[in-house]
Amino acid sequence: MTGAARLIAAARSQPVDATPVWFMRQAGGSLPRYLALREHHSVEAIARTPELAAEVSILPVDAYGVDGAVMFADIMLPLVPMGVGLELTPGGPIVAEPIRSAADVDRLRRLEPDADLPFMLEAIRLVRREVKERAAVIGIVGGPFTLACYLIEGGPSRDQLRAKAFMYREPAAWDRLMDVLSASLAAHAEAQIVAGAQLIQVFDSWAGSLGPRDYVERVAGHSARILVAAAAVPTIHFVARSAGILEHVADAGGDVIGIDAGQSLDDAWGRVGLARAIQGNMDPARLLAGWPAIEEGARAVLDAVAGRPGHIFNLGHAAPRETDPAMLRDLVSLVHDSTLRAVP
Amino acid sequence: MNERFLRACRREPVDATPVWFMRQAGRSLPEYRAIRQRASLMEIVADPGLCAQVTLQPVRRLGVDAAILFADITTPLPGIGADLEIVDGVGPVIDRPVRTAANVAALRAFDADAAVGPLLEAIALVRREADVPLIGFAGAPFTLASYLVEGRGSRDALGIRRLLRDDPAVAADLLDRLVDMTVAYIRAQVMAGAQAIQLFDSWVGVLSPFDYEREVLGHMLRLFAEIADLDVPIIHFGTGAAGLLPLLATAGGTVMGIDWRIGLEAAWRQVPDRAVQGNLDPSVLLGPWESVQDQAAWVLREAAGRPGHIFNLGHGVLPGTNPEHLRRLVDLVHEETSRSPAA
Repeated sequence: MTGAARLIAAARSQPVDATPVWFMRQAGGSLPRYLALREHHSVEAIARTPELAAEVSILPVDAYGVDGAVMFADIMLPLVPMGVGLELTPGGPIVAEPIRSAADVDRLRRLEPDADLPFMLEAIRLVRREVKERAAVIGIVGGPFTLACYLIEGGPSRDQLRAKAFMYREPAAWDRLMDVLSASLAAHAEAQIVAGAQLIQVFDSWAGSLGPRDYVERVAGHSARILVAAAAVPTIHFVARSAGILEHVADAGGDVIGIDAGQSLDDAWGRVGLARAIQGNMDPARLLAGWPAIEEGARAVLDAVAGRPGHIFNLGHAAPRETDPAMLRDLVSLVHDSTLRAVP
Repeated sequence: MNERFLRACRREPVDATPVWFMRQAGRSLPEYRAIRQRASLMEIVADPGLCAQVTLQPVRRLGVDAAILFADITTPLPGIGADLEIVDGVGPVIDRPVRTAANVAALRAFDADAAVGPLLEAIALVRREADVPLIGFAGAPFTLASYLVEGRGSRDALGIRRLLRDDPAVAADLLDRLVDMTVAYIRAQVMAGAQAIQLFDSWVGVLSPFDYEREVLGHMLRLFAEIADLDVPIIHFGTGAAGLLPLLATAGGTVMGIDWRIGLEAAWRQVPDRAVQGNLDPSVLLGPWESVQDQAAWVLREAAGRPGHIFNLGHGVLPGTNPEHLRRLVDLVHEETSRSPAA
């Protein structure tokens, strides 16, 4: 099977010849060509230049042999045309004027992806043309909760307290905010599919800071709207630190549920239901601990999978930027080689 | 003496669900902030009278069913030779981080009277004055080790995790010494009068179940074995540990403390033979009273009146929390759960 066929089949819980693998934040990191590009271009400049974004997205396909080419893009960029002043810094995105009131919410404009983000869509076309069947093109959209948190907090935050306080204090404005975000992100996912994305990952990094009731009542429906809009291709729904709300994340949708390293994969899969595919979940900290630790972590994940169809190997969260590229290449080989099987 | 809390720890019927709050003593109370004008956190802990006063403040103002000893998780560490200061806005900062075999070997055995004498005196003072039980307090070895290796609090605890892998013998020696220290610290608190102990593993949620089982569980089992003869309930609390809950229960604990990132009912199903403490999202208290009411009622519905629920937040009281919300919340929990004790 080709890499693209392998990843798409696994996402649909169909049999594959070897377990597909890709890594969150594989595009970028410590690849020499990326570091060289970064000497002359900011992250934002790369993301906004189709040729550069495409090149960086393809690098890990060539360097590691991954089965998915995830787009090099920042989940915050769609907010700029919605009227948000934004600066991408090494410490994370900084919002010029964070949302503080209901009136601030009403100033946001709904995204029109074709007019607003042509560079992202063009980058997808370029990647698709270039990687052909070697890897499937994965488009990404941020989860609506995570983007709302950035907008209210003004940048990365530890516990999303300001955002949650806003949610409790201004429930109607919160719903309007989630509404404009999910409508925009749904449109963005659809436009990426039209441009050639073969899977969509919804990346809700921070929704794990909510308890189950708040997640269900204030977030899940908005995430579901995006996942439904993207249903023309397999969708991956990833929430970090989701061990306490996993069933609800799964209920919100996704052909594949992405899990972090804080829960055991077999237990998580049982809760999600074995009919659904699962993605994960090697602890990314192992990537900095040398090959024996990586091999042990990878084998523990594969043991938990026990050969069931519908597993996509990934990390439990983004790869650390300083990861040695050779380790990622060897990890891809290990996963492929140790899961080889005949396709019925 | 109000026995609700201790009865609930033993899963016995109670007249109303007991309630206390992690970090109930401290920054949210104006009378605490008044004391902090003239004394640092370390000075308060070193002064039995002040420490007892701060410990009792929330009992008087809020009407909670238990007092918890006012101390920091790192308070006993200077007693093994790891000197530290508490920096505003940062938290505890260790003078000389512990990273090598020589650093670990230089740590000394813990002598509770010498290390935390004033704190033990404060326990006796609180016992004399309080009409609710006093909960003692200790950090779990993994969390303490992460402070020692990193030199300060760290979100991903990479320092101790790297040490566990690169130099497992040194890491194990460090954890062993911290188990010894924690056992001695807990025993001293109970001898001084603490009627329960909360064991806090603040950073353990960074570990995968695989790593917890291999690197930490053995140390925790020894810790619990060495305090098993103490006739007090132990509350075992880990933050962000929804995926580790059955393993934490295997380690031990009369009561499992849970944070808000998991439903109380779902959590209890995983540890059916324990009492459960929790788990209102502390950020709810930054919002209006109506949402506090609504969310607290939901926690109580999840507990469904089963014996063995202790109402608490899913983590410590946040800065900026309105103490009036806390006081009304105590009343609400009591009123909503009032029942005949002979049920």
